[in-house]
Amino acid sequence: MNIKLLQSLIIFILFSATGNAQSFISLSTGISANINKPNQSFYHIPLSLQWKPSPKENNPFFVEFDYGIPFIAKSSGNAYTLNPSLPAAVNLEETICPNIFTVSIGFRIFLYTNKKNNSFYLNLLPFGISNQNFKVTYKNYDKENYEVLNPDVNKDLTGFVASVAAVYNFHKGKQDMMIMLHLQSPTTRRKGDYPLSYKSVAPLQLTFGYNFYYNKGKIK
Amino acid sequence: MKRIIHACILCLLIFCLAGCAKRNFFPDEDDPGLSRFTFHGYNIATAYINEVAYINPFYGVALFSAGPPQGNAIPKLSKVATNSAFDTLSLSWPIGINKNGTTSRYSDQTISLLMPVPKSFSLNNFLAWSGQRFSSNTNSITLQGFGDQSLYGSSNIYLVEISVDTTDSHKHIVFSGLFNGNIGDSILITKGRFDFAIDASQINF
Repeated sequence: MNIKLLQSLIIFILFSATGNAQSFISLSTGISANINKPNQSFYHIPLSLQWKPSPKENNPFFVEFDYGIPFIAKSSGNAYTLNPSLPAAVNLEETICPNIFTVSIGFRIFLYTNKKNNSFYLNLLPFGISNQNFKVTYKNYDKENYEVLNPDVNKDLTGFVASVAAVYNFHKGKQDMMIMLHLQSPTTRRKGDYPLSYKSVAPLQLTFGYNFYYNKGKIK
Repeated sequence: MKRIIHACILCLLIFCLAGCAKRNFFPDEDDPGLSRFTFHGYNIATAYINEVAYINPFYGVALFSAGPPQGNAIPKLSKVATNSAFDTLSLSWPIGINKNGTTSRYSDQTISLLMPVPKSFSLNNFLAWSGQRFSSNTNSITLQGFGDQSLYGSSNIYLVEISVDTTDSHKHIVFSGLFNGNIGDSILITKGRFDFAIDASQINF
């Protein structure tokens, strides 16, 4: 039963590739928001590069590279001291800088095209590796005299991710353009037992960019 | 043969259950050898004594003897009656030199923080101390196991957070704080921090 289902899926994927019979590179950027947020909201400017190396009709596989330029997230932490000549407690501004880089492989499922040859695709990227690096700093933190209670700490997470995207390709003049709504899962890697105010990022990104076609084949 | 298999399964089960206790030592990157300053009831306490990092021990499973509860050594919080106008609130726990987050469970060294309290001092009074900083004018610190005799000095204590945790069937008093002190000019205790959770039924006031 499962083998039949898998066969059907493969046939569907290969059949659905008929609208994409050419190699291309896509470059896009936009805005990204984290949807896996316990306390912290992380926003990024995503830079997305997709590369479909094969011009063959029956090869819909492509590689995607995503880098998120982070907006620094601000929070606060409380610090305490025993030094009687200093205030017993102070509130510190905390900043978290989350850098994200992801490499994924996946395939495109052709969904729709209109008379102007604008097309709509569903990208499925079931296998990706994401590195998420969180750098935490406390502004004006006097480490000699104060101790931050339940401090956040730096974390470097590398783990597997999966993602899905809806892509609309359209033409403006001679330019091939695209809009993409892309959702990535959090990493499979746990952040450890120590409780932090942030979690692995699951970016929902809306990007706009250009497609550069080469090795053009015949589009059915 | 079946009995042997059952005994083996039982032993495995005991060892699996024994593995549940966690050390919960999260090193402070700014102060090597010390734990982060937390308020999670981890029962972890660290301090520098003459610039050497000390920590409370971790007790593993004790199958063949009645040992202390498995996990990080739990402190003893008690009110000690005295003949003077005030009683003494004593918070003490075993310590040893921190070697990569661990220390000998057989360490006979202890540290005690001593604070004068009214004879009528109750648990509610203790809970009301949350956020209070106490100066060295009134508080004492004691080290035992660092020589033939107990060593007495003065200490600063800051009970940063105290709360009651009733998430499981037992009522726990969770409290975190900072401490430092000195015993004469020879022993300096610095950067002390603790994060304790004590079963309320074990407190004698």
